[in-house]
Amino acid sequence: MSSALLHLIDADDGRPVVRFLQAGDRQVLVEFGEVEVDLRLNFHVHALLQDLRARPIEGALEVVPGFRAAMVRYEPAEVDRADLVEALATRAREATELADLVIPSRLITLPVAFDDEMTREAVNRYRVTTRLDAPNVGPGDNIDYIVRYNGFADREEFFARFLATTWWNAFIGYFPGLPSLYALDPLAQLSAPKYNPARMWTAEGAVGIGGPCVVLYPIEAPGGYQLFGRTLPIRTGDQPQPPAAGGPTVPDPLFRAGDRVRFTRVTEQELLDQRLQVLEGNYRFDVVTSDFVVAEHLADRERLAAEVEKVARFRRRAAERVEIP
Amino acid sequence: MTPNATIEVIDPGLQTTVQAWPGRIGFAALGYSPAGPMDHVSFRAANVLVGNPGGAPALEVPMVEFSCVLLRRARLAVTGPDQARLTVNEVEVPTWQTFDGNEGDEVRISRAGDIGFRAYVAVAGGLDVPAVFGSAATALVTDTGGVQGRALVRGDQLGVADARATNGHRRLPEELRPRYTTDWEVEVLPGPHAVPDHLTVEDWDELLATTWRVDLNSDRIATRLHPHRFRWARADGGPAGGHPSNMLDTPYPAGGVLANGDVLTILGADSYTSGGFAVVATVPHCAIWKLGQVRPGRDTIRFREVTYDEAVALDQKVEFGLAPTRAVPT
Repeated sequence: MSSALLHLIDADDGRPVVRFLQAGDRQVLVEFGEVEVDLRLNFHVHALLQDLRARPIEGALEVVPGFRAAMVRYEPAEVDRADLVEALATRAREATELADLVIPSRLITLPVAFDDEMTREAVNRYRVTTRLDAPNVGPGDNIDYIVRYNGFADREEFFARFLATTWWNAFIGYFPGLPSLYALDPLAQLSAPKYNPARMWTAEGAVGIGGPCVVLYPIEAPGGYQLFGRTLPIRTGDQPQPPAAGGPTVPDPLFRAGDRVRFTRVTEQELLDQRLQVLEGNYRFDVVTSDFVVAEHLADRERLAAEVEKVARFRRRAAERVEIP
Repeated sequence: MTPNATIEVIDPGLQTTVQAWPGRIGFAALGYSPAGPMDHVSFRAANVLVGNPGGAPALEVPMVEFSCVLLRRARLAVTGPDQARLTVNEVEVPTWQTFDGNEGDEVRISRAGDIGFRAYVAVAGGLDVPAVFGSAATALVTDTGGVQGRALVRGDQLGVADARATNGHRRLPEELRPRYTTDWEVEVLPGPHAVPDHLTVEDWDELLATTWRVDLNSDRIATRLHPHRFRWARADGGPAGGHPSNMLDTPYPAGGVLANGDVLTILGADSYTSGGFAVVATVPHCAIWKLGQVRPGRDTIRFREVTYDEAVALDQKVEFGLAPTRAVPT
């Protein structure tokens, strides 16, 4: 067989290895580093993204970020693949160093109601229809499971930890508008295994965690993340509108890759009221534009390194005592 | 009422949708898959026959069951496998060529064979459906595009965008039509997540040597194959998960063949834009149309590895048959 590896830049001076991989005849996947949950890999993706958006490569039509990779879609009739890969490699080599990287970002504050009726309903349906003996649905529910898996004393300690960190929207995908959020506070160290088998139903607006990643469900859907609360409808601006003067309708998504999210706790009734306001078009989302300075995050990581290792060890020990679904 | 109302649905069939090609392109970074026809070759051919741009909004009819009544005179073309039997007022009419219908005529497509899965219906002037994010294509998962983001139901009326469109009668010569079968050979390129980091050489050989049964649970989101346990070149997914197919979420390519645990899954037009599984191979553009004609629960697939250059050349051949000049006057 031919190799899918089209080109490789070796790791060098703090930069991770970069692989350029064949992904069919119309896409090239640019992958940073190895398989590890290290947000720096995602910042490298954003650095490349920023560069390609500022100075597009001819024939490269679209760049789609993931956690540690970017998919570059191109038109083979417009650009020779070897030339494209060479141009991408040059960009990856010349991309802004993380220490100098500033990512255009917005700080979005969203309400969350923990342990709401829909969360309980989804877990109950799973118990009844799918798997009664799954360790994440008993004793207790997904929240109790997250608490055990992370070694928290009780639910309140978990909720407090979740609320205390700012969350980084590393990318959007799977469903339209679905943000994949990672804790920016290096001390958070929250994680949870996914469902096995998957859940058949999740309410729109559900908040869940799988691995280290928190997601918000933009639509009613199956799912595999452990559920612990609900937020606002986040899918905005994409319903069919009359075409304005023949032009295409333009998306106005709530989230963009590189946004940050903070959650504030509300009661379930307050959430339902606010959800209604969103659906009626009367809710003003709390969105503040503020650049993300990667150097500040790197400094936090370094300053807290010893403590981070302590928390990570504590979490690992707790997780070892818990059954995986 | 629908302006220029031209067809009214009587029997919507299994899941008939308005599609447009190439679909919702350029919004993957916002989580939108393209949607669009599962078999873009038959779809574009139908449009070309009636004189539309190949990508104009038209109907995708799965399992080949559909009927409508014409509310005004129109020129139409139906393409798809031979199993699609086309009648106008119960009189059989050939597919792959244009025909005219008058107000009150009943156009019906029914199943007369066992090969292939989707038929396409184009109307001269193109269906009048608004573009959402740049395309009229229906994405059922997200209720985007088409008629209120859903499959058609009885009583739906569809207008024509350019009611004055005129074009001579055309047919596509048989040698230029796609070949439908029940045992499909589908081209693949290895990767992005193949040998040596994810699959072993033996795994890859097995992927090519196996006759894969297409699961009944296949749709516009994905074509699912029978479970198979690969050896894998790694013990697990590390921090991404316990199964060696697990990845930290990665963007998916069009036509990606991903290992959903032990189930190979070929991404379709309505697929997820990203996810946590290794994409071991990718179906190149020249072969993606075949996945729209594979019949769930019955057909089989064998993968044939091609080189990148072969894939690009094969795609040029597919495009050749779709040039408007290939349709000949009847």
